Amino acid sequence: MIDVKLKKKLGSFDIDVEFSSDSMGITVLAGPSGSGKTTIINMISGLLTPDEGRIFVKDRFLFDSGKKINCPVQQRRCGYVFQDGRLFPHMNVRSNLLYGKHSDHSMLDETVSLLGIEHLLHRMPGKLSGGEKQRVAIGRALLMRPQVLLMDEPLASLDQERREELLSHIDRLPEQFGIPIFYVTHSIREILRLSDRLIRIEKGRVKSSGKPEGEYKGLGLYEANGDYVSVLDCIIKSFDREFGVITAKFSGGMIRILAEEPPCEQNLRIAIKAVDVAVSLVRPENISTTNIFKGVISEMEETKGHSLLLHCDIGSPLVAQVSKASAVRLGFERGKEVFLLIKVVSMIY
Amino acid sequence: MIFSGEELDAIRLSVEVAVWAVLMGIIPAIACSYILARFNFRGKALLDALVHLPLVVPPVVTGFILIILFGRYAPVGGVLEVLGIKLAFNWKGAVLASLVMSFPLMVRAIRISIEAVDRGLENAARTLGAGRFRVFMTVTLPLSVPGIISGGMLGFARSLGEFGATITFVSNIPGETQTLPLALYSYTQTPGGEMMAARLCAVSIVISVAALAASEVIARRAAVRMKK
Repeated sequence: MIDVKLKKKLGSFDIDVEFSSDSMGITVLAGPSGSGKTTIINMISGLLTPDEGRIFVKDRFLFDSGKKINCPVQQRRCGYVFQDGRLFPHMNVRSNLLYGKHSDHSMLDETVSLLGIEHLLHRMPGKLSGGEKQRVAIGRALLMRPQVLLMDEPLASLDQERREELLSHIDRLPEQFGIPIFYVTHSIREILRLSDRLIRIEKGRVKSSGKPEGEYKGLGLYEANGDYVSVLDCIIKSFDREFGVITAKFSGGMIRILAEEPPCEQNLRIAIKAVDVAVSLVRPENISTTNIFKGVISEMEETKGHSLLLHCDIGSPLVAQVSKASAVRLGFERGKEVFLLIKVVSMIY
Repeated sequence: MIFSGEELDAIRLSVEVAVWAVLMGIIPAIACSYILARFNFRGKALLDALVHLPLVVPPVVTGFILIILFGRYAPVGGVLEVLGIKLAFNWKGAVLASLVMSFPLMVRAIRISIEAVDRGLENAARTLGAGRFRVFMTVTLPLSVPGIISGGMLGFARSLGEFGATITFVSNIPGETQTLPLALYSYTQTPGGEMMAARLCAVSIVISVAALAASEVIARRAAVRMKK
């Protein structure tokens, strides 16, 4: 159980957030740069002191301005994986891993093998690649047996391939180590892949919080320009190796997704930008698009640049953005039955 | 080149005084540098000024202040005398004079290297459960080693050349307080002493260069060990 309420004024910017989480999974804190995500987890870790509020983790208050509790950083037992790793350059990997005051030496073997860093134990951090450094940093934070793991964009400084590799490690951490994770990112890929719960932060406020599904005005990198996206939770049914097409089931039926590589997991969460969804009054035939869903317009909303947002229900919410001209021409209105077309190539996951 | 007993005394005494000055001064210098580099408190500017004072006032002034504080009948000197530590007109007094004169140089070098230690690493250590002392001993201090070495080296060189404060505080007693620069000065004041002065001059250069080379080697080793 984690319960957080924080207020902090930083110059002209101020943070005022409140959220709680009782899940053991990964809670992603997402938002554009400068929205205050890192500041929030710095306050949880104790590196920054809030002006007022409370921080409750597992079974104790780490901070409570009312009761004048302010547990020092070193006693908080919050594992912290920094964006830049921050391994101690004068200690080898093994010494780094076991630096924590409460480090559990008996867990060393298991932890290093889970993270695939057994062969690095006697190297110095200066000789490690970016991905290796981050895996050591994760191992170091886990070995101190933290009550919560805080991760601040741990993949930001890595190349694409290393990111993928590390993502699957991070994904499994909650069940392997039985600890809740707070994960800061602005990458839509990481949000979709990792989040069990999504807390969106904007300008120091909680914009939304909950299971990552449904429609979002802005998500991850699309946050800045406010593009609408719909998030769908899918269960993979099959993978066509020849064409690289995944067939997956979601609450609105079956959907086909183009994938470069065979999926490594059963579940897949995808995001579809509103501008990538086309709307038709009849079921089109002889068309390349294979994802065609019958739905009902539940809400229409005017948006910038002579276009309309159609919030539709296809068994799951899906938002489409069309020009006002097309909407008038085709007579779109609330409650109208339409067909929504999503190209296989336009999905984000 | 064979040295006279007086010359050998001066050389030996100089090295001894310089080594002692660095040994006695280095830990207070590290502590002082850490405080100046990492803390903000009322009176910080005053402490900073006090540490740097010997660097800016004439060495004779420093020597005179030492007499006032540590002379036989002075407040601190009297207490030390009761404890059996005699400073005035004694080689230990020469150590104190060198220490005070070289202290600001050591603090400057060490402070810069402590300030260069990434605070992010110190914060990381704290999240891992290390208190302030452990963070200092395991992260800040080892990462400042190159600066500490160069600070010690600067202190040693400064002590070796110390003249004004020493001659004022402990006078110029051959075999007791007559360090190399003091002996050199005496020879230049003696008719026909130029040759002896020149020899001591050469010795003083050799010792300084050797110390510089040694500190380079140690600093490089420390750097290599860190990047292995």
